[in-house]
Amino acid sequence: MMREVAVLLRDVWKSYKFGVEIVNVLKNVNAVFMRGEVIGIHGPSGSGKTTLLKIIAGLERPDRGEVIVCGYNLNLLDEVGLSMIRNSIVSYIPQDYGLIESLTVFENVELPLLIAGVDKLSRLRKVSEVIKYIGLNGKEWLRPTRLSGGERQRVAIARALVTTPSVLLADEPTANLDWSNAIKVMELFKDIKKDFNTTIVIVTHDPRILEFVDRSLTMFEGTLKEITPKTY
Amino acid sequence: MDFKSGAALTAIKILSRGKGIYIIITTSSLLLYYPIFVKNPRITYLLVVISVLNALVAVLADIDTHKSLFYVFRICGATPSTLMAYIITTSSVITLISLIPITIGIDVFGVLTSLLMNISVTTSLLYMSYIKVRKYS
Repeated sequence: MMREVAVLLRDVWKSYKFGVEIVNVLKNVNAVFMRGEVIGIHGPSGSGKTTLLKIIAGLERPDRGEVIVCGYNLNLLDEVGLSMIRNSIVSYIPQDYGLIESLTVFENVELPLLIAGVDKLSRLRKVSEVIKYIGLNGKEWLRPTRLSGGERQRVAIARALVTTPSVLLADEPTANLDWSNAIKVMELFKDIKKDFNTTIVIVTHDPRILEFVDRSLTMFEGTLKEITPKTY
Repeated sequence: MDFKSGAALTAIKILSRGKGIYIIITTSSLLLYYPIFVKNPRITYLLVVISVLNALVAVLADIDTHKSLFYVFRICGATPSTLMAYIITTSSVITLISLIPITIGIDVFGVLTSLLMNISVTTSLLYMSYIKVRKYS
């Protein structure tokens, strides 16, 4: 059976201006991520990993090159089009989880559905299902401040999962967790891949995380390379 | 429920659980004393200035929450019009509460001036925060 391409990056370049200096954060990045694959991108801080995730999520635009996500060429979409992609096809989990402290767990997970205009009954059913799936039932009405780091990460994953996206992008999902919680989160990602056939792209500076992924890539000074098993 | 009413609902939830709403309700309640008991045109027009400051403080009190929400709305796929619906709902609620003492003590021209000033100040502040979040996220 032919596997579907989820993300295609072709000759992607991105630079930022710091004062008078222009820094190339991404240099000629080429990659193909298939549907249902768990990809690990490893590299030191400042190597361009987060920028790459934001470009795939349509939060930033590349200076040059093509980004195709589930058949949509992001370069051809306007801000409204990119919003639709983020709401239904790609979900991004930021490193700091991005939870709203004054909203409950349920309300945080509900946000993408509210934005999508889903009716109240369907929202209630879908959010309850996702909260149960990630193992946080009974904690729906707590505020994020009452949760542990691992639980907060799970809420962020639930919010990303509630719209059943094809591509899930996680920025350093284990950076703020101890090793036992990190293993639980990585096992959860494996379950999501198996149950929803989701493409999961994880960026990390921790090489131990690469044990849990199907394919590993390394990012160094803006260039992306495939890692052969011997190099880590 | 469409896109925009979802944003408005979230704005109301955020406002009702923040510090800003308590600040503005308390200040507006205290200010009611002047238009009711002190019939002095100078003092009543001073209310316009205090009302603008009151609205400004109410937005600033919850500005970090508003900024977090702009960021989360963006990553969850909110369109610019959804974010504007959030900004306008927040500004309108704050403006309406801050206008209560003005409507009692000042003429129609004063009320309209305050309405315009308060809504401009709160909307601009929230919109600038949104632009900043959009630029740096």
